[in-house]
Amino acid sequence: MRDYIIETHQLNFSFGKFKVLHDLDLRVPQSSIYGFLGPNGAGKTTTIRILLGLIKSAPNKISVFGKDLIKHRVEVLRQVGALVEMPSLYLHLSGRKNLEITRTLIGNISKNRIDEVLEIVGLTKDAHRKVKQYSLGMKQRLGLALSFLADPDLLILDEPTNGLDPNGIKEIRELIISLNRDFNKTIFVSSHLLSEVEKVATHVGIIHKGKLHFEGSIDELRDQQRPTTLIEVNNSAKAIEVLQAQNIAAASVQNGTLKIEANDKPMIHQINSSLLNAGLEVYQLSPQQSSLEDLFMNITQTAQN
Amino acid sequence: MLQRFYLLRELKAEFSKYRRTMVYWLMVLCPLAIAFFVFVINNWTMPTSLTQLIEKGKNPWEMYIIIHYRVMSIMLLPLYIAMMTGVIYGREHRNNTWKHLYALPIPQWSIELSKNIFSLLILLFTLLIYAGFVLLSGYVLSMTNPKMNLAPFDNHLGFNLLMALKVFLSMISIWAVHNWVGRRFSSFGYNIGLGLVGVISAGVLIQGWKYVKYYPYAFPALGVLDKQGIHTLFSQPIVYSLIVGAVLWAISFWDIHRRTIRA
Repeated sequence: MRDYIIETHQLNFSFGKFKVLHDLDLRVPQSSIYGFLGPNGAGKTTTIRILLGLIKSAPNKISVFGKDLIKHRVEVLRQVGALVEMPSLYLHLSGRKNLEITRTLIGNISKNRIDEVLEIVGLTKDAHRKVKQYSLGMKQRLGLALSFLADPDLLILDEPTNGLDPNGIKEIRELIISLNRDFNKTIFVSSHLLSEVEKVATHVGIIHKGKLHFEGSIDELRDQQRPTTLIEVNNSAKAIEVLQAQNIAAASVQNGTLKIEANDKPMIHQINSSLLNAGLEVYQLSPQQSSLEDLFMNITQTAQN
Repeated sequence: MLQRFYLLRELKAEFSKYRRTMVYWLMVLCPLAIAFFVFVINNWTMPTSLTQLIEKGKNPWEMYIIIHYRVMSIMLLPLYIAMMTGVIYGREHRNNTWKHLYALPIPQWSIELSKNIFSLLILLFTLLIYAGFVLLSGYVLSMTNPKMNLAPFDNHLGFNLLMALKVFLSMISIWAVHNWVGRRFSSFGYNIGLGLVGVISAGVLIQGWKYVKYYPYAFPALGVLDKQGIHTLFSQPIVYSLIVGAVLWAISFWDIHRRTIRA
């Protein structure tokens, strides 16, 4: 069994003088759901387009299924299904016809497979309708059906829940989980929403400004979470000074509420005493379990600074 | 082994993806409209070039066919090519389906080549359909206008098809230009604008410019106006069109493939 399905080696890319990707080293494990996270403009779509050969890259930088993408493009893509941004569909044709065209283009796919994928994405009843009559969610599901029509081992999905309502997001999420669990597909899915990725991913890569800031399992990401305490006082500026005198930095300040990275009892007691001694009114001392969202923000903001 | 079938599969997909689009309608309606237009003119004005031949008992079909292909080549063809290539590529641009095609396990050259062959076949079919309408209109004219009775004479079908093929070959270089522009730019306007400029400039330059024989937009008109070489398939304008077209197509193919961002 191969360890990594996708590997990139110091991948760089620039649009003219603007550098989009900086020495990107991705490792996507087999049978994983790899959440590729980053804020808008971080370089996610560019990375995905390079991984699919939609943007030319240098040889020996990308290896998919152990093969160099540039040298073995067709062979590699035979095992890859993709959905890049909004699904690319022929709107004047029916859902079934769209699938039939892709089936003809790829070749070697049985006709029954079209019914199978329609069933999986729940579009059997609407298959005869023109795609221009579909809702965004249905288009997205048809795009997914196209991506795994050839039964590829790897699915590369770029923001598949973009623009969908909560119900549509849930449907796509369940579909991704089912494709991984029931059909053993490795799924590389990009998103700018950690909350979404958190619900499906087994592994995460966090990209910001073209650099990879974290890569590992979702548990490894959680291990990086640090406990925090929320402190509410009458004068936050003065409280910051008092804390700084003790070499404690406030992680964030919002509406008179400070957040510090500590929650052990002796330390909380010491902080409380010093704040009271400084004449401040302390209204709240509340231990927090920081969320992955905080961690994500922390990683991307630290990178920004 | 499968390599050789890529192109056939993609061509099959091309023919199905344009179902219920303007492509097939234009392919039939444009030649019909031109044939009808020429029919009306012939019926009302009864050109002496034709009536004199009929009166003398000489076969008028050759002249009748030449008139049709002159109208087609000079008035419509460049704009039709601009419109057709625009419509064909517009479908992929509008739905942004390039990225879907380029992410499929098929060679990139065959994606472009199948589209090129498809649009050329559509243009060839258009001219063959036109040949059919020319034939049909001749017989309809014989029924509607006794002075224009072409029916008793041999219909020169072979010459009719030769003219269709000749006009097709003479427009290869115009096709190469519009095929390139249609592929590179998503806006339909570039293709139509260029087509208009091409038609007007050819119309002006053909009046006496020394080098007009090398001007792509003039090749179809020069092909059908060349009385000496009218029975020859590979007359000078056709040969020039093929050479210029092949060079332009090769450059456009290289241009599409050299781009970093493919889709």
